[in-house]
Amino acid sequence: MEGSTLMKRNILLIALGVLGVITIVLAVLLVREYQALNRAGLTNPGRYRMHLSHVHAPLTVNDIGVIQSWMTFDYVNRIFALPADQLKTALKITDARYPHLRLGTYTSDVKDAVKSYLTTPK
Amino acid sequence: MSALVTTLLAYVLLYRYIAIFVIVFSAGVIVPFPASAMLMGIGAFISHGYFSFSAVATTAIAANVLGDIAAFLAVRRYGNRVVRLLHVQTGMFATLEKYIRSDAGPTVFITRFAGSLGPVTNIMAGLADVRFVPTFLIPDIAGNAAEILILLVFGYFVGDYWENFSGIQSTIVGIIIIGVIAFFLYKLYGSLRRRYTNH
Repeated sequence: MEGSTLMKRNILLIALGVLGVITIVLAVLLVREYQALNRAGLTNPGRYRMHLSHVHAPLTVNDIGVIQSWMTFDYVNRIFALPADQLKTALKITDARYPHLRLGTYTSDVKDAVKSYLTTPK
Repeated sequence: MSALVTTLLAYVLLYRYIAIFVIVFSAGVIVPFPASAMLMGIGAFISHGYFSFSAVATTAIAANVLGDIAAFLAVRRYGNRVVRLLHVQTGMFATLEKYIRSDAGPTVFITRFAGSLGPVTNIMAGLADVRFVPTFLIPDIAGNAAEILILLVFGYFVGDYWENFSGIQSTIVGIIIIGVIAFFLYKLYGSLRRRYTNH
């Protein structure tokens, strides 16, 4: 009984030691993640104050990089304040599911079309 | 950003609140979906006015709480039968159950912030036959509400940069998981030390 308790105790001590090592590794990772954000200038609250002052405002031509293949046409129309059929016409989309359709292979064409629309004087 | 997060976000953009409910509910039950990263992304969608903050928060909190309740009640009802059928050794379960029962409220609350440890705690709490109201339900609602609101507000605050923060978020979740496991192991160690000293 005593031997088995002692063995369990030692196993637990080893497990706690392993967890301690994992915690140190995670702490180092956390610091590195923070440093990466710092280098990218993402730890400066001023950047987000600017974003917050434009919350719900349409994105501009400088934000084209935000567009990604998993987004939908409906979402892109909304965030860039495009007319509902702008992209459908520009890209000659015939899919009946438009605008509830992922950009997928259209992504780079969508970026070009959005850029063209936003830079064209109205 | 992982392919799974982008796939889930695509479904959220296509099916909106129904997708949020289904994904968060499944993550609450046991499916290992990266719901936390997804909620930060939805916070960014809210900042563009594509979703309503209150509707997303209500849907996600309700889905998460219902998922947790479903898992807890199912395990409480059928868990012991399954454990017997699988011939799992009950000694270790009994020790874990004892500790979960003694600190059920704080354990349920803190593990809401610990990613996949949350569903595991629901299962353990069900096996330990923890009292549903108030011991399980109140900390579950409080923990889920706090976690979801923090993620949505953070996503809203950082907007389109949310992806840059998903690494730091998962590292923090990892540290919380290690902390919870270490706490239980330390308690177990303390009881073994006492038993050894008594002998």
